[in-house]
Amino acid sequence: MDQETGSKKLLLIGWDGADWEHINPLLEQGLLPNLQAFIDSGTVGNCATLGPVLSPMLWNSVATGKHAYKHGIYGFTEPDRTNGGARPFSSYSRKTKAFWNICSQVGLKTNVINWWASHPAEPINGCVVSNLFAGVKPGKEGPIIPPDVIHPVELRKQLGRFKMFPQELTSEHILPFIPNAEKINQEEDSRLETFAKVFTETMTTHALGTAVMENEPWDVMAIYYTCHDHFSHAFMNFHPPRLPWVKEEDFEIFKDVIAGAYRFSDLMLGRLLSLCNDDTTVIICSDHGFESGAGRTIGNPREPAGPAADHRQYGIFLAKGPNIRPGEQVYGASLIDLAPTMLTILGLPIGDDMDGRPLLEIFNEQPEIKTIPSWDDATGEYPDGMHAEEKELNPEDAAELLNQFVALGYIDDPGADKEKQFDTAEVECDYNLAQNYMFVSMPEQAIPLFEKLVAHSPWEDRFIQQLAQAYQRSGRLKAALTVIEKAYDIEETKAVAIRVLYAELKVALGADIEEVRPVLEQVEKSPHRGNQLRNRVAALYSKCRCWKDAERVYLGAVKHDQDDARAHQGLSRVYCRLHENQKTIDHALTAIGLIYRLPHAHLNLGIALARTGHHQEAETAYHNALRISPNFAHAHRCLVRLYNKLNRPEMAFQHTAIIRQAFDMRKAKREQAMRDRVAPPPANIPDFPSEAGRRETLLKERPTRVDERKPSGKEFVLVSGLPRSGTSLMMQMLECAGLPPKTDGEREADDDNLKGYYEWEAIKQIQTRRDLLDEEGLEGKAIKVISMLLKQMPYQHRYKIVFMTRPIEEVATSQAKMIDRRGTEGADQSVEELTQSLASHRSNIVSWMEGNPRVEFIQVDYPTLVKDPESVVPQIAAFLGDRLPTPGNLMDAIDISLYRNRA
Amino acid sequence: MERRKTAAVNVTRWTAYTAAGAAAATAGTLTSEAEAAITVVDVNVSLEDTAQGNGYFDVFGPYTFGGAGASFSFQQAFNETGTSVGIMLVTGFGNISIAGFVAGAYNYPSNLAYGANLSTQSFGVAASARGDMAWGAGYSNSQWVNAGTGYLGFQFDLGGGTQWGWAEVQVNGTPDNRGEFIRYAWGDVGEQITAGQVPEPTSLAVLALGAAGLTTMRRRKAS
Repeated sequence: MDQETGSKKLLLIGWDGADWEHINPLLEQGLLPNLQAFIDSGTVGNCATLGPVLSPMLWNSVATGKHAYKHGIYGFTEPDRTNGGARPFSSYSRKTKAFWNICSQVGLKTNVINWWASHPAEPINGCVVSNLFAGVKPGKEGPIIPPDVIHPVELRKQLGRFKMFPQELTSEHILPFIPNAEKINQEEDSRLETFAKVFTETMTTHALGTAVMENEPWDVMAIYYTCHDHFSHAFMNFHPPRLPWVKEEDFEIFKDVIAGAYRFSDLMLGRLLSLCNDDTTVIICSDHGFESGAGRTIGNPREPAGPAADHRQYGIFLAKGPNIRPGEQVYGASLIDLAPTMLTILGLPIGDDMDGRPLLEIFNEQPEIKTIPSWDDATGEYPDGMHAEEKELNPEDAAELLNQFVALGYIDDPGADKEKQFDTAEVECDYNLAQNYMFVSMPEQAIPLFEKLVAHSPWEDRFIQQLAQAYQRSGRLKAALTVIEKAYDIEETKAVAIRVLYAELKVALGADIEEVRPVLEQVEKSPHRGNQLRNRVAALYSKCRCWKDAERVYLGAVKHDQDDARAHQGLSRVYCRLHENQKTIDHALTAIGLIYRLPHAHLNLGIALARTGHHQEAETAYHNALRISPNFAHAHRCLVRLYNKLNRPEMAFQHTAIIRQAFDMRKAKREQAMRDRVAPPPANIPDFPSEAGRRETLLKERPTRVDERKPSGKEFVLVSGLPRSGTSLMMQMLECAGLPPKTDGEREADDDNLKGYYEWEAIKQIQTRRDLLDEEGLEGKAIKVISMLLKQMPYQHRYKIVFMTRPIEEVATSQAKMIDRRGTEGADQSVEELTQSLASHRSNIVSWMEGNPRVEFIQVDYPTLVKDPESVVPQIAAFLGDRLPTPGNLMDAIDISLYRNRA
Repeated sequence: MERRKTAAVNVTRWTAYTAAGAAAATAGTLTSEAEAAITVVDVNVSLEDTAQGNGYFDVFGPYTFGGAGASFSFQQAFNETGTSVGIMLVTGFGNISIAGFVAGAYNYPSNLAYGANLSTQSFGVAASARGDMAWGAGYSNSQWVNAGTGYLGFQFDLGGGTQWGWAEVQVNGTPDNRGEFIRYAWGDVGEQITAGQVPEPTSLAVLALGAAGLTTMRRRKAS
């Protein structure tokens, strides 16, 4: 190690979605011994999340110490500008250094496992296993590891074997989580499959992490586990207490999964800690919590990333190590503070361009805080590992991860339409970026994005509402009102958020609170989700000095979620105005304990402290408010008053001067603000369809997923394989044996397929036409489905698939010749590249068939079939059984001359 | 001790899980240990004499098997000179005998290697007989005069049939003859356990070991 550091080693463990609400009851029962020991010897607390609450954005904020608008990872998928379509966000898109780049350039051996958007693995001073390792597929000679998943490349073989596949699980692994697993009808219920996927994905991460910790040198180690989040998305609804809409039998089967996930994590934590020495500082954090108990609701918003609505505002933070205070609590920690805190632990400077603060209160001995303007401009003695240039990514490698996003509900199924994939990814990126601007109070930057989004999709209510809010927060009140009046009938709308916004705007533009009181009371009574709207209603009452109304609504919010920092801050203001000083202090401290950066809470605290004679403490509170918001005039005024009282005129004068200066500086701004208040929205705001019309479009664009779990009882014979693998020949053989092909005859025989293609053109639309196979008589026919479409076949049917194979090189060459002859354009790849991507695709499909309980398949090697049909044909006959009326005729179709186009 | 590092089971962690497992009996799921055919007790007692002068003994124990009936104790004593040259003794009580042999006037407990089959040992040190582990050249047949870790073997019957047990002892060697009693264990009736054997963890506990666990799981499946 070349850098002199504050502590010798640092281990960061990321537990996505872990929540104290789930951990605490298990701790009380003594079921998490490793975590309990960690808590006893370290500092712990809440960790406030950021906005929007989407894991890839959050974990990159952890890695960089910057908000998403600075780091460049705007969600799950990004438009793929090279291949078209969409791809998971990659490390190419991160615009700034992560902590592993910084550690790398100062010479610290740094290893990173499974971090969001870490693919392609960056060539740092250490080891990286990217998040695309999750998509690794099994192959004959072991897992197939795509390039760039592991750095350094020499570790590919050694680490590749730690991919665990669902097929490896046995009942011994499953029963502790699902004791009644045998009651699950796997034909109809895919939840056991989901469990197996999440479990093995967790195990893969853990095996990689421990392997690297044991065998590779490290100063800094970071491991990211999806475990808690993915188990929670799949099984939180079954967690006790039973929800009214959850069936008793489902509850009995799956009620132990969440507790099991936490207990298994505790076992894994024990192992990780056993691989650390006493000089290691260990941090555990989660990016958000997860709704449980009464916070769980049925269904999610009908929008991409809708399931994120289940994410709670607070994750967890724990730290222990040689210089970490034992048995302590930390208050007001945020995800954005992780990177500065880690750099401080390592004795490295913090970038001035980072948005977080080091959590100094966790240290025994205060470390020296060093800063530099930006790590992005600093070069080190060692390479930082940032990618020098963007290389093309293989879409096949990313396909599995995309499927996982779909399965979790984080993105809409992108289907096969690349243009739509691209467009959807672009829209969501813009939306997420705009929301991040709103989170960091930069509405001016959000406005152009929301304007673009409403022009693109005027049927999306979420864009309209956010645009109106962005106008409101930037002071363009008239524009905000115009937008919502154009889009909604305020008297009739059921959109509660719009009613609140309307009331806020009317009051801000001069209306009396009594004019909008009926609207506010309706909102108060409606059973809407979350506290955001309750707090806004209360804030409006507070603004209009209706203190008792504000108190009532804020208390309702606290009853709903006792950890709602903004409700506590609001109550601190109400009680401050009511001169109830003790209550003011209590609620202000609670609010600050939950989220540190609440300047009004610090201010109210200061006022109540000053009133009760705690002048020194009040001074501290005012200064804390000003640290967060340096131009906070009210805090300066309070300080002037305090210093005058304490007979410190020089200090009072200093703050008076600041107030005057700020007043002068704001004068021009205020004039502009007055103009902005009444300025109309730009002319390009579209005319919105009616609410009903928008709803209709929404249902069409994002239809409810049909439950295809219930089996139809139908079974179809499919002939499949890569194009040019002999599928047409197999169709002919089946026809000879009495199983007629389903074909529309649209694609006639040509030089490439002399006896015709045997295709049914409509099958290509199976993604959108889910009832296509309901046509009468189809069960008695053979249907040709190219391998790319297999995964899209409706799930409620069973399939017997004759899967044709042929040496990949021959397939690639044959496809290339066919494309040449037809004069069309294929994939822009060399034959070698095509060969590699076809091999990867075929392996992917075979794994899918192997793991699908509704699929039976036989692989038929095309060259063998043609050269030695006697060895293959009986197997086909046996596989299809009585589906073939005259199996003896199978061989009639074989014509050796058709085995052509070989390389 | 190198062999313990490569074993799939970490005894200390297992003991910690026992507590969790006990709680789990009421909570329902995810116990980290298998149905126990072997019980392990961590002791970690330093076998240091504090008594001064010939004939004074420091007694460590008794350590009981299965809660009652059979037990054993260690003793440390100074020699006649009152110098630091001690003697280490082990004695079994109740229906118990210790793996070992008689030579001359002394009973010598065997120093068993990790993995030795207990049921096939010769249990030559009878109940209440003093087993002399080490006292320099005076006990020429002692197998405990060299520094290192070894296992004592026990055979006992609590009324239900023969049971075997082991005790892991680390000795400093002659002439110091102090040491540390690390842990001991016994199997259920008829369980032919080996020296140092601990319960197989559940499949989940194996997997929680990460890379080593996954490798172990695959190796077991393959065999």
